[in-house]
Amino acid sequence: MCDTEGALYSFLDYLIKIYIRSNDYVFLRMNINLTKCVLIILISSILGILYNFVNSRGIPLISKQKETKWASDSIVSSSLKPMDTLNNNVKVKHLLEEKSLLNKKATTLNPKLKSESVNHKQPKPQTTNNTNEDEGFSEPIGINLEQAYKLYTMGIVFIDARDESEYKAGHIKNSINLSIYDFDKYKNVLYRISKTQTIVCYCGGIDCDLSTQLANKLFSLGYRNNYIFIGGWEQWKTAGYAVE
Amino acid sequence: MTKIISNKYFLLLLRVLLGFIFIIAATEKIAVPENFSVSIANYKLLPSEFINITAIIIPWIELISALLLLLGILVKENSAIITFLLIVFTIAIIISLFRGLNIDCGCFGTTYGEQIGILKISENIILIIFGFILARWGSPFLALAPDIN
Repeated sequence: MCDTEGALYSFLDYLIKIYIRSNDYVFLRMNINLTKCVLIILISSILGILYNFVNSRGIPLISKQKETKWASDSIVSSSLKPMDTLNNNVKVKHLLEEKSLLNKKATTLNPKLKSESVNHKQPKPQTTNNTNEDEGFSEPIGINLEQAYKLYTMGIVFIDARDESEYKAGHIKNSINLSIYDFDKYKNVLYRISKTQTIVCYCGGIDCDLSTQLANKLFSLGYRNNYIFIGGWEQWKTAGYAVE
Repeated sequence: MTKIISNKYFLLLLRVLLGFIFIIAATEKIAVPENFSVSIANYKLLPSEFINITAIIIPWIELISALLLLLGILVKENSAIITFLLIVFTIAIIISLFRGLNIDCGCFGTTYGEQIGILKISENIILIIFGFILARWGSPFLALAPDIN
């Protein structure tokens, strides 16, 4: 018993000596006092937590994982409004003409798409008053490739959140570039889009979250009918849909 | 070379530079911690439970260390803390680049949004070298408490 205690004390003594040596003068031979470093970090952390409690924009200490809500097909269909089409009949006509060609191409590239193909509806003539305010969603909603294509064929505005060079390298046909990195520089494109219009934000692909950031930004600016095409450019390109 | 690096004016310049950069970096993150927590979440490196606490604490460590560095209090220790943070940030950026993430760096909050990339890594490496020099030689010139070092 005594031997064990003795060994334990020697071991602790050894550890303390290492600590003192490293703490006092051996840390990378730079004469840095680790205790003082730890104290600075501790005091800063306590100040941070205290300030967070009094800060009106403070956040909970433990975050809950926020997951993007996914839209059901009925929500996507019901959210379509004639004014969403930018009143661009030529564009819609052109898109519908392209539909059969694209579906053929996509089916050739990916046979799975055949079963996922959707019935695209011709947009109804504009009968509603554009001044009607729509409350929109409670937050931006995620959509899949099929839903994105459905909205695309209806002439919904697609917004590319990537930077200009990536956009120029290839993007969804007729999409608008609104880089989240240079939001102030590009935000003038928003003058063309009414806040009640439905919009779809996208970026590189599943791992890219610029579309979510942009969608949240636009949502905070009042664009409430706001979708996030999660699959983004990669899925769209792989499916063989219209690009430029 | 050592003579130039250990020159008191050069060390003062590095101290002021690092101090100001980190004060600017910390202020917006402190004011709007939510934006910084989003930036941290974008890296997809931390479990979601730790994201907010990291977003709350790190800017304050940056601010306090930068202020003490600027005032010349515990220069070596504060430079070491800042250098350590820079190394961690740089590793996070490198991992994200390898994983093909196309995200905002979050280094200066969201006001000065910068995309992660080689340029950002280069900037960080330069700052790490500055931090290392200050941690090695200190900067007692025009320091508020040079004797504490």
